[in-house]
Amino acid sequence: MIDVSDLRKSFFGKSGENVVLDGVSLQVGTGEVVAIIGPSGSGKSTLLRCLNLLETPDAGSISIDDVTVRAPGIPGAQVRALRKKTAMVFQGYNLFRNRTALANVMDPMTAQGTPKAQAEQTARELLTRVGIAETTMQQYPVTLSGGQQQRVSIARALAVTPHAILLDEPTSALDPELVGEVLAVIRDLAQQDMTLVIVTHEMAFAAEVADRVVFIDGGRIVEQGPAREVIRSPREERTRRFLREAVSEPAQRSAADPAADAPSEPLGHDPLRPDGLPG
Amino acid sequence: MDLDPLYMLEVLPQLLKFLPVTLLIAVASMFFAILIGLFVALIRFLRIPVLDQLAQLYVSLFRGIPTLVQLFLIYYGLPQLFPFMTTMDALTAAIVGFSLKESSYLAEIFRAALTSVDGGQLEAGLATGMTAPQVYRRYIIPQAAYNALPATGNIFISLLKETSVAFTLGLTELFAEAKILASASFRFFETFLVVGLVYWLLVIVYSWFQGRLETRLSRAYVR
Ligand SMILES: Nc1ncnc2c1ncn2[C@@H]1O[C@H](COP(=O)(O)OP(=O)(O)OP(=O)(O)O)[C@@H](O)[C@H]1O
Ligand SMILES: [Mg+2]
Repeated sequence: MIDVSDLRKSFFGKSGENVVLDGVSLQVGTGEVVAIIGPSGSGKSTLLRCLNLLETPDAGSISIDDVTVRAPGIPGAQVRALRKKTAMVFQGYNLFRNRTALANVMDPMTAQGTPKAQAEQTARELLTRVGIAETTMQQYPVTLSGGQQQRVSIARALAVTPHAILLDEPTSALDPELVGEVLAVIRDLAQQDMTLVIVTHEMAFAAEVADRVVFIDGGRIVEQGPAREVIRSPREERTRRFLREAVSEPAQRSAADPAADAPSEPLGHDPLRPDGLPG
Repeated sequence: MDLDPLYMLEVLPQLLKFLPVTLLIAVASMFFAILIGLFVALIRFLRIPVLDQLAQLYVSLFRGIPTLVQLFLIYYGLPQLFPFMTTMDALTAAIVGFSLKESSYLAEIFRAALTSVDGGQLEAGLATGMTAPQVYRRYIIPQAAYNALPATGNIFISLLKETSVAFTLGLTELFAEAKILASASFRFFETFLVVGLVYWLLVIVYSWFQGRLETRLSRAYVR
């Protein structure tokens, strides 16, 4: 269970205060899959990064599982305790470049004191689960495709047995033909009742996999509800406008996405697959 | 032309007796320079207040004063201020002087190398519950070391040769011995040619090892 209450965050630049999170409250149930959507600069990444304190909120409280922190003035021990509750999948994969794929997945475990042999066995299992072949496990990140790197990073996230996984646009940096393999892995996680918070621009995927969609604009939650409802028939005018614009972007990504089996026609027609899971 | 090849062969073993002194100065100075350089680079990279300004001053000072002046300041100058330092021998003074000087160059090389490591890895490490020192030790510093390897090698090569100015402190290393032998035999050209070739060979051997190391480490960085 994630419980975020009245989260606030501003950045200060030359032009003064930039309020990025303007009182965000959000609950995510255990096993729930929540997709966060919204225009560029609306604060999606900042919200996600506040959940593991990569950004320090100015005010508000965050509870994940049995750890609760209250900003401002979160002590270092609480920062680490909260971070151990989640894992993050980044847009740019952020794999450790001087370590093999296998070592990337082992390291978070050994860093917490797991014996090496046990960490290696778990890492092999996790990498197999995300579809990384035995021979590929010994390769360094530079020699892997973007899709492989992102799947390794998902295995790395699973390695710490997190309470929830935070994914920030996990497929946005991928070549279109590689998006499907990564979405397929995320879909599996969702079906295995992992708690997931996904910032995504893949509306069809969000509608299919997420239980709930949260639309953020200007640092506030404008609308949220069952995924299909929000995406198919948004109540708020701002959501409607955003979805219209999101759809009018070139749709070649979804078209080249066999594993996700996403519609190739614009979302406006029907963003949902006929065999999609119930929202 | 008056050139005595036989003399060159005779003088070589005599010179090589002093190779260990030269190597000791170079290797010991490099060792301390790397430690100090890394420390200063981390201070500058992490922008630790106050220490950062001191680090900037340190780098600017030891890069700005000629090596010979630094060595004289340490060996002849400091004992005047601190009488207990009169017991410092020339070897120690040389190693201290070279360590300080080279550390100021290495600090800048290391800082640039740290900056060029992709910072997303720090966030990735922190997000899985690692501490910042763990991430630095396991990922950031090793990758920075790889980035810094070619430039650091160049520093060592120039240090190997620069140890020859230690003769001015009355220290008998390779070059000082060459001077002694030359003035005894009046065979200046032969003696200095041989000692020059010895330095050259040292640099070639070192470069070969560095090349192998770079190839070995490049596994993780070249596709
Ligand atoms: N470290 C930072 N320093 C200053 N401003 C920042 C920082 N990080 C984010 N911002 C600002 O905060 C606002 C929200 O950024 P954020 O990255 O959360 O948006 P986003 O919704 O994830 O957008 P996108 O869809 O483009 O990823 C932007 O105006 C951005 O410029
Ligand atoms: Mg973002």
